[in-house]
Amino acid sequence: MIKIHNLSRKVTEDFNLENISFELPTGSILTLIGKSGSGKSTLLRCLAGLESYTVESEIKPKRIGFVFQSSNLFTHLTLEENIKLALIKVQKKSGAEADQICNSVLEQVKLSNRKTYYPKHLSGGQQQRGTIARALALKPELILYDEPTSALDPELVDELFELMLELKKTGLTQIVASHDRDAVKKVSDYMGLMHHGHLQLFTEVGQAKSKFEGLEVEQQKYMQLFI
Amino acid sequence: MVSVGEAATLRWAADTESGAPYVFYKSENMQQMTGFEYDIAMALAKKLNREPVFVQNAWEGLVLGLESNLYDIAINGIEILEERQKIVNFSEPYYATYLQIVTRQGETRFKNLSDLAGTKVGTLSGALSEKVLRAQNDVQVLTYESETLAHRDLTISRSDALLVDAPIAKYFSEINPRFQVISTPISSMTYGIAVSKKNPELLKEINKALNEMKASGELKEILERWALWNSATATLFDDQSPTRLKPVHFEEYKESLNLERTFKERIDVYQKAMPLLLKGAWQTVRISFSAMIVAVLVGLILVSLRLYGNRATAFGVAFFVEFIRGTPLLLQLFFIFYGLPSVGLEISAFTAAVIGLGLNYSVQESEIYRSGLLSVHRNQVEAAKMLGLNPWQTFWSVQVPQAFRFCLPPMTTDFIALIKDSSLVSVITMVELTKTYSVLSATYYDYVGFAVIAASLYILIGMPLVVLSRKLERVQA
Repeated sequence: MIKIHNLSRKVTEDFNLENISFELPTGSILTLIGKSGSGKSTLLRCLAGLESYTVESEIKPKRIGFVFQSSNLFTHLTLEENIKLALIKVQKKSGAEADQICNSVLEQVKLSNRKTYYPKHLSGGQQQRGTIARALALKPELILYDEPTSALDPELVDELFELMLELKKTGLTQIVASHDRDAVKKVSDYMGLMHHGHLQLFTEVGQAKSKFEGLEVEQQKYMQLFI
Repeated sequence: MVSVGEAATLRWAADTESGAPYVFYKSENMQQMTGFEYDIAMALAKKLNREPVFVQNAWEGLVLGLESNLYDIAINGIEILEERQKIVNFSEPYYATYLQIVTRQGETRFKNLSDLAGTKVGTLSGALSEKVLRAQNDVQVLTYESETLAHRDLTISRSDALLVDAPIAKYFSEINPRFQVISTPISSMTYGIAVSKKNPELLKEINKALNEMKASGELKEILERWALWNSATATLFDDQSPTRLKPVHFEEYKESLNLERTFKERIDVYQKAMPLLLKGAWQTVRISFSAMIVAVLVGLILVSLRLYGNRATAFGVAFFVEFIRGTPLLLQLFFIFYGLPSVGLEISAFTAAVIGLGLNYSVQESEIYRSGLLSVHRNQVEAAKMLGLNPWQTFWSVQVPQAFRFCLPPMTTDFIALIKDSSLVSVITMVELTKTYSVLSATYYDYVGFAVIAASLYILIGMPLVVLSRKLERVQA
């Protein structure tokens, strides 16, 4: 269970968040939508611990994975080395253990045959799955995705959604910040509408239509794209 | 001070670049040192019953080296002047002379000092002649580190005249048909042997030996052989006896000079000089590569402190960086080599050179590393953080390997600059490639030929760096 109560960030004029609160059951997928500058990425980064913030109370997992929009994998290491780096240096696994975990996560994301490739020799979609594999290796309980589909070809977007649904089956909670309409329709259990740093609306996807009325016209128009 | 049990040596210093007739290498045999002060030093050593050991140092650093106990005496046409006597002791004068004006052949404008008004006059820096010139109104003073260059500029009309010590006028100007010496003696001075003030015992011994040499006529004989005996010295020694010996060494020198060499003779000279040039090149390589290692290590420390240290260390680093960046490398070398001993830290010339050059370039290196690190995408660092790597691990496992690629080209440029800057260490007694070139060009009066060889050697020294750097860049790509 993730419980956030009154999370705020007042650092600059542009990257503010105000009193964000929501509860997300374990194993669900939440998609944050909103226009550029609404605070989706900022909220994600705060949850990850990459930005400072204040909060009245919060419950969130210790191990969190993050998939950035781009430039995720360490360019000077092979895919295999990318995955094993933290296993060995942070979790202090032995070489054999690290190998085992590495092979297992690569199978999960279907990249076993690209183990020895450098990121620059992998396609955008493969790099992303590689990043997910690297995060999975550390056995996180929550994975955050920042605009994961923006740079992908349409076919690859569906592949990513497939993977996310499979990961959901293993009990992993996932939060996605996205412009992508399909993210809500095809994959999400919950959606959050961000506007000027506020969490305007937080609802189960199925109940979104009923919450429609309470929104301003502009936001209604925006939401319509997603449901 | 020679302590009981130590072998008795007389370490004496001079700058062989200052050339004839003081202390210089014979052109026919580059291993053999000669000069009237060489003769005097050898005679003194014999009288004091000590083994003479020669130490080369740049002329500007001769007195300083005494203070740092690099050698016991310095004898190299050092005029006995009041301000020098505040720092070191001088022996009784061993020679008295004066200044003379040197002009191009056929010049008629200048007969005495006042005629020089409104002209450009060259002289050796730090010598009495410089003081005398500066005391004149309306004279543009050009200072030189070597006689050869001073004369060269006179030839190509960069200067109108030179003002030099009479011995230089005799050995550089008079024997060269391109120049003429105006005989009028200007000012007067005496040369003395410089001894550290901490060594009054040695001073006594030196003076005793000198007086013996004066009384026996040995000193006069040395000066006569070098055609340097003059009335001023006769008065100084109170010895008005007529000149007896022929100026053998002066004649030898004139013959060896061979100003117009044939091409084949020149090639011979270059071949003979190659071992010396290679020796100098090796010194350059040793010093430069050692300094580079220091620069990289200190540069890495500086950049880590700057990016990850606290306020206090950041301030310390900033202060260090601005100090090094804002002062000339030459001064830094002087400070390390001559200044540190005064607070009890005695270090060899090689160590001082490596530290001086290394620290100086560490600052530039740290700036290169800083910009290289900043070029690493933010997401890479954040990804590392999300994976649980601590800042130290992130630095070494993620940032440094990626930054390295960006840093290679400016690092290569930096190190080639360091190799060239290594030529400055001649001021702290190291004889590297440029100094070797200076001495050779002065000995053989050939600056172009040797310059080409020396320059080629510098390029060769830098080659491995360029090749290695290109290889590394390709691997990283």
